Amino acid sequence: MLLFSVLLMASLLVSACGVMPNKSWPGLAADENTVYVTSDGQLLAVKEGAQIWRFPEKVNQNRLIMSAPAVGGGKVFVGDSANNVYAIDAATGAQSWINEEQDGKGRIVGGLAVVDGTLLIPSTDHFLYARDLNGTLKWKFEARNTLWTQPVSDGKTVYLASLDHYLYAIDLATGTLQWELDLGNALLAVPALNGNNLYVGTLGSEMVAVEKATGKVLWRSVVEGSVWSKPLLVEDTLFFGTEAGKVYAMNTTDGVVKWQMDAGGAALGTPVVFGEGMVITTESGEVNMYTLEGGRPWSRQLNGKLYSSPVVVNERVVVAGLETDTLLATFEASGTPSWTFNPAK
Amino acid sequence: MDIWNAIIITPFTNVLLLIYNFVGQNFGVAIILFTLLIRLITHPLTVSQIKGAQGMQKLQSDKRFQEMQEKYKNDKEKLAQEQMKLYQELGINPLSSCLPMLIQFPIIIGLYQALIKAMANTPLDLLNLSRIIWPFVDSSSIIPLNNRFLWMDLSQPERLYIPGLAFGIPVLAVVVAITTYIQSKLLSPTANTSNPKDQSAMMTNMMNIYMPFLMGYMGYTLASGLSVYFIAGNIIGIGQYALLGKVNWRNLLPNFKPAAPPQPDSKVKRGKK
Repeated sequence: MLLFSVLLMASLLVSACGVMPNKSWPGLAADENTVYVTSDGQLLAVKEGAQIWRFPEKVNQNRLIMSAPAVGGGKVFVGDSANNVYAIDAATGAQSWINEEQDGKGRIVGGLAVVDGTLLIPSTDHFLYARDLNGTLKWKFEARNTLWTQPVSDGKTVYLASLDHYLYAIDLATGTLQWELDLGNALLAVPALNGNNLYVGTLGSEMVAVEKATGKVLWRSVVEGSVWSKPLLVEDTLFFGTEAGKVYAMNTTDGVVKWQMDAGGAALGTPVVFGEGMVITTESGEVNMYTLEGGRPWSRQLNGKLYSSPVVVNERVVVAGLETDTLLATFEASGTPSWTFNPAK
Repeated sequence: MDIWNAIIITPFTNVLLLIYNFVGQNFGVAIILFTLLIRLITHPLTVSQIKGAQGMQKLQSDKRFQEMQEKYKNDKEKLAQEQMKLYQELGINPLSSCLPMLIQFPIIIGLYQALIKAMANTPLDLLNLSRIIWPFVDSSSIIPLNNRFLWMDLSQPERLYIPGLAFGIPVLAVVVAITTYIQSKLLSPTANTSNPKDQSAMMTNMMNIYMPFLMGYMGYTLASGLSVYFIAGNIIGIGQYALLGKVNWRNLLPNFKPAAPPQPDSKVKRGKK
């Protein structure tokens, strides 16, 4: 019994060390010429391959920065694993304010969003918080389950996809629920909006079109593999990747697939418009450039896993990797590699 | 690692999720039932381990064993030979207490890791979980996993917040420590007071003190789903031993001094001559 207890304790401690931290893939955002990336519990600002600042200076294991950052009003906003929200001065990295109202009861995993002077914060405590850019709470909305997805807004209504299978439409000014829609599967993808409709992928391998004003489903289109991120909307076409490693171009009017291609690995990030086409990354480390017609002018292979949605800064596409040789890698529109970045230990 | 995942983690995680669905998507109840199920499956091993441990305990207090320790203290080879003879005479297999324990060990670690995997904390965790869910487990109804149980988020360390108090009370960590203490006291063999140099008894006493603190600390810092598992494991363990009549209830009394155990009746065991 004694030996058993000692061995059990030792093993549990060893296993606990490896699995308990809230490990996730890097989150990316950018302004005109600076990239903001959350990685390993910190937020880093990087310009042309050089670090400008990092926040916090030392990783706090109890307050790991996890969410993808949001940029607005000269500040960068991030959340942490203890449900705190930070406003960081984009130029200096100094902390402007911290909100600890909900500390300890949840985590901020999903990306934050800044809409018309309102900061939207999805939390695993089931609440979507709306604050002004100084941190004052405007309203909060309770969903049925944990919130991992960045909200989006057209300036009047906030659209929130949730793991609880529901899509919520919430009044941006008041936080009042306008409608809700059960899509029958968990939603992790951010909806894409156009004039009258929104388009959201599900973990049940569907792309769904919904009327923004009423929440009425317009069409559902089955795809191969679950959809984890926001589709890229270009005119009347949706472009998105799936966990099964497919890239789709889909008609917004009826959900008919225009073309589909093998991505080479699970494509979980949102495609980004770049050069004459778009860039999609894959779990197997590929950075693929596609034309909107389904051509693939170039593909580059990195050592590691690319889950995060890429961003474009200074005419370069920036990708962030997990278990990669470099945290950030950049490419020009021709596919030529540009600067890379790895944080100093 | 892939073999470990295929043989232990994936089946454990899926069974846990099946139970979760079966009990109305209550992850706390699923953890308790899964712990119970694993304990039932490994019960024969526990019985075998208890029997082996009892035999070894009797051996420790056998006069002949103590005498040969003294007599051959400078001749390890001879001591080993004499010990083997005594094992045979008393019908004891020295491996019988270790082997069941070693078999149970990966199961318990696997259970622990399956719990963590099932409680997917981040999108990356969820991606990894979605890839090991068996086709017949209804993943669309499982995700999102309902991590709430009573006042707790099972994927986070537990604190009970009471209005007026500026801090949360780690109730589960305290219960983990208390149940660990009670279990270790109840399952400790009666101390051999006739032998003040009995190092095994000293170690047991020391572990009885430190283990609850260590387990309580783990309950304080790790996800509360694991605390539920620890508590369920402790209570089920006590019940298991009680059913086998191996619980020393009097060990819980504050100033109880156990009597020295009787010498084993070697004549009864002696059968092969």
